[in-house]
Amino acid sequence: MRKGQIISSDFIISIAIFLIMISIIIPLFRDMTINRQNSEFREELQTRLSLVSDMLVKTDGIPENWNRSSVTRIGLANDNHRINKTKIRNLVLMDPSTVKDYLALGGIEFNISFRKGDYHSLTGVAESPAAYFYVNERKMISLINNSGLYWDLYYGGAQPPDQADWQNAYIGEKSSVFNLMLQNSSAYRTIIIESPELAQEQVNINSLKDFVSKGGILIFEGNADLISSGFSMHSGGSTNPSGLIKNTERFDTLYDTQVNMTGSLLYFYHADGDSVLKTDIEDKDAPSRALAGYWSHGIGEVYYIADISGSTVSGPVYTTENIIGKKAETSSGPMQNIFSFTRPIVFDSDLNSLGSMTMVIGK
Amino acid sequence: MKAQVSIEYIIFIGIMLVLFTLASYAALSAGRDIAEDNEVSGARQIAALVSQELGISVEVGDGYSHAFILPGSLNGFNYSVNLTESRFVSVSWKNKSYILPTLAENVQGSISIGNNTIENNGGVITIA
Repeated sequence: MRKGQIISSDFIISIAIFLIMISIIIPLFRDMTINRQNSEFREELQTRLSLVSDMLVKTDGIPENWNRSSVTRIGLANDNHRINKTKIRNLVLMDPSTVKDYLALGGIEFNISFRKGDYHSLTGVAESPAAYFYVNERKMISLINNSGLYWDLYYGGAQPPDQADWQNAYIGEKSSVFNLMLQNSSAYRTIIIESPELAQEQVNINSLKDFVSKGGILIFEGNADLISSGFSMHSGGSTNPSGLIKNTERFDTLYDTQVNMTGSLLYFYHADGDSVLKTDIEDKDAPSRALAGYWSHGIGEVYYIADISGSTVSGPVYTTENIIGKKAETSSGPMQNIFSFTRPIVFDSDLNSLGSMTMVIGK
Repeated sequence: MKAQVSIEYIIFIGIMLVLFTLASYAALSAGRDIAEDNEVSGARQIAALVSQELGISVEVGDGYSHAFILPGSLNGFNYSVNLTESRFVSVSWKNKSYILPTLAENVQGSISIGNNTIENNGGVITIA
């Protein structure tokens, strides 16, 4: 090294020290920035999760009885702070990206699910665990299978039963299998009966009445001689009736849309001493008659459907979503950095048991 | 020899300037990010305060009255607080906005910077 040259050992050392300092400071600074951003992000998620889940379970939404076309704000409660299952169904059937917009979750992924006890809550009438009984007609099995319902099969027909996602299958002579189902009824929240081809005298009908009156849900389709008396509603007969839709919340169709049914069917009507009849499908020829409707018996409910395959010009009126139900869960996509919040809720359709809503958000 | 010293000196000054420029850019960029994050954080605090005040007024019910104060600026910037059509609290500053939900659905009046009084009269939330 000649005298006067700038590349001296002092200079090289100073450059080296400078570079070492830079190489230490920059990663440190980067880590601090990342930590600060993570902390901000956690605070953002926690604030939003708490407020959004509050909004969902404590407010009605706008308008008060919103549906998928009228909604401007999502809230799932009724004015009595109970969770409305119709609103849950609308939430579940909405496009998740639209839900994201309504919940002000831009850039944040979400999952919202509802449970009752150990089971997923469903968007329809049925609740798990359930029992399904049929003999020959099995129009409901396609609505039950893969619905998310936890169910047992009770089959009283002669042929091998259709394969489906039941948990246990009980097969045998129809009245014996039916009575076995009634013996096991304390294990179920819902009993679904399709055209049982049985008279009241052939079964332990008081056991079925007890099941409903103590809070059970009975979904009955087809030939309803079995519940034609003693279930808090009067009935009569009709052949190939036409009906008019009166409950647009359940069917997502226009009020008074015509429904055509086939077969020799029963209708139910209110008479003195009966429970209040809520009509889903009204007999076109007699407004007091319900071809599909529901009413209370004790603290339970009976849902009657004269013909589940009844259809309008645009197709079948009954789907998995509106009668059995699909899992009450909606999700916008996979996520990480997850925060979750579970809130206890009471469903307006069942005041006897506590449910829960779990909301998970992340990026 | 003098010329060699000058060239090497210029080269090293150049290297130092490049390093200094890069470090300055990184610092400025990080500083800008921090400032923006602080703005969002400030907006979140203001939106959460208003949302909580509205929520408490709903939960306590008829007869509730409470005063609260919103800061005069958001990290030195002018800002405004509004309720959207779907009753979300929206804090707006510069050309940005930050939105949070609230429990209140039936609200009258507007939110001011500074002193506000919130009342629940038979389920109708009034802000003055």
